[in-house]
Amino acid sequence: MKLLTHNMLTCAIPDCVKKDAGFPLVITEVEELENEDNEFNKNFLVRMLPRLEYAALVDAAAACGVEDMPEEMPEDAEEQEEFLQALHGVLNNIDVVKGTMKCENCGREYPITNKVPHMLLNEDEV
Amino acid sequence: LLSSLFSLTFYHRSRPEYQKPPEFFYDRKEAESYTTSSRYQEIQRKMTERALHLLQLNEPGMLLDVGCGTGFSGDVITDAGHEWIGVDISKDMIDVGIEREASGDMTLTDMGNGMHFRAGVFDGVVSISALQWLCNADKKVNIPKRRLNRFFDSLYKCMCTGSRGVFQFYPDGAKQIELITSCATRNGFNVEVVIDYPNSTRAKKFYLVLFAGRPNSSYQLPRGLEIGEDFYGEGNNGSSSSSSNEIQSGSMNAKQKKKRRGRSDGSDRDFKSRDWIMKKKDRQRKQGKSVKRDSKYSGRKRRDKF
Repeated sequence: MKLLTHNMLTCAIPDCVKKDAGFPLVITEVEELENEDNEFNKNFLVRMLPRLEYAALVDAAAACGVEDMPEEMPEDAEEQEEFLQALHGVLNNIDVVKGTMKCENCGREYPITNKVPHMLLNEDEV
Repeated sequence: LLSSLFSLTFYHRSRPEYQKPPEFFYDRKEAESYTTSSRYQEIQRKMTERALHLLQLNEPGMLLDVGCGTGFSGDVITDAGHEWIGVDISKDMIDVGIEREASGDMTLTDMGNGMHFRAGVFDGVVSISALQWLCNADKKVNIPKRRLNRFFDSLYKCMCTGSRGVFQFYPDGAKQIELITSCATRNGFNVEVVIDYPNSTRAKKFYLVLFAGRPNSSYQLPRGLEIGEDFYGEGNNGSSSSSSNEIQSGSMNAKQKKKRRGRSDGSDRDFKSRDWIMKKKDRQRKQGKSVKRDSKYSGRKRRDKF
């Protein structure tokens, strides 16, 4: 799971969905990481900037061992090549192979195995 | 009657939705057949390209692939310059997708429980051959209407305002199309259905086009294709497709069948006349079958032999 995906995923429990409280899913455990070398696409990145939840991204990056992201997104982010490169590195290149995410609202845990987050609910949770 | 009964059971057996729930149907074996069969891939690729064509995105965007399977449709999305996230209920399909290094992220999700993404993150939605699975009541807890509503409600939220979703699907009949379109409408979508190759039973394809919010005025829905047509050369000037309420069921009901049988038992003088033959040849031509050319001998009675 890339951190870009993590930045969009919310808790699947109906109560959290209803209260709009299922974001972010906190990465509580990272057992295995992979660093990929994906293509840097500036157009796409700039388009995604307003849609990112930056604070959640900083936390997720820290959980994956990247501590040097700026606390807040620079105001002229689309012009700062250096920042965009760093952002790309965090969003698109870090791939969580195995780990766990947890919803802060309801406490439900979602495992990540083989790069895939398991968002399926049990019958009694639906 | 016997033959029609037989064809009915056969028909049901040939649709995977009636066999097992999707997470069991798409097992390891099925998933691998998707990566090895070039025929599957060709069909899959064509449908994804058509879906992207109907979507008409002008800029690279973030797409959601509902029922991404092994990520094959996703690779077509990547080739078109977009990024994508896929969801699927079958772990085996996704695992095969990871092994073949599909170009996007995939999450294990049951579409009937809704899409769990933040609001307004997707520029568009693509889905190939997945929507009909939602209409199944394969478990006690699965109520199709409730699952459809949950899906469309959550989908609407995670799409950008004015964005579109294109769902290629295999409906079971007019009733199912109506159920799907009414659920989508109730959850705020503007709904259109585009039918490609409507005259051919085999090549016929249904595309449900959903508009989240007010459709962009520059967007014009391409029309359905006819046999022999391809969408690559087609401009945007095609007229809008038939709307959902004009769709007719492909299967005849019993009453119609009876009526038709009654006509051919001798009371119908046109039976196998030249006119009848010409009409039939015309129809078959439209279906893309190879038909002998018309001549002055067409439909003429053979000379009696002694």
